[in-house]
Amino acid sequence: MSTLQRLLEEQRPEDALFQQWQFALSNRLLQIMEERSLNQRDIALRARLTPAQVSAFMHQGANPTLSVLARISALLDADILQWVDNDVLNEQAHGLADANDRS
Amino acid sequence: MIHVQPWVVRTCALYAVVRDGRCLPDAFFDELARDQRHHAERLARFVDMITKRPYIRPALLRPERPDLGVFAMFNHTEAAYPYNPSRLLCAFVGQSNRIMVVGAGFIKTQAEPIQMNVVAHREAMQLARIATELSERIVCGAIDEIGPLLVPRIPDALDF
Repeated sequence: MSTLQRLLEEQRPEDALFQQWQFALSNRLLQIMEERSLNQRDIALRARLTPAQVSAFMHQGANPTLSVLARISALLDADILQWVDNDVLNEQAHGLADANDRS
Repeated sequence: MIHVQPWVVRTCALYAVVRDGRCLPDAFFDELARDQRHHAERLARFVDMITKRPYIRPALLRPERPDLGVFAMFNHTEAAYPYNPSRLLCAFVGQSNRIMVVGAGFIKTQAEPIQMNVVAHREAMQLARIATELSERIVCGAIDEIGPLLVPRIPDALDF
């Protein structure tokens, strides 16, 4: 087994899930920026975030509170929590398919 | 002797640079797992996740040498781990944003740009050359890009 595979299998499930949420959140915010032709500054202004907060979101370093997520959802008109949840579920299904392929 | 081989191939694909029989990204993960376990796990998860997406958004990567098209995979800081030093060098191949070639990794110090790290800088330059050459071989038909797969038409098309 490669080191990469071993690291994935040994990562604590709560750490893996946290990171998957962060990643999905980054992707969805980037998608919003692309689709609406917004830059990070626009996102910060519209969702009343600091530039540092937006940067952390983009690079999977954010651990936002529920009130921040509510602000993003309401002010950007985006159902962020549901999107992120769907993305993570899809990714986990993908992971299961990979595991079945290997067995 | 340098060649490129499939490393993680899913919806998107990462191809690894192998130099003198040593797979550079694997070697970096081995090193990182010994010294910085938490960062190694996060970087491994990042690699896992980006390959499951329809395409790889450049904005998710750190532009390490943007002038050469060389990025780094990394994870931002976290409260419990204030500085994340791991950087895994990578560059896009072809035009689809679905294929990357991955080279060596390095441990970055906070104050030091990549140009000041002689070894990392040399690795970035070499990776840029390999990515450019791979892309040119795709254009000239020596390698077919079929989804996330790079399929050589001639036996040495993934050797450099």
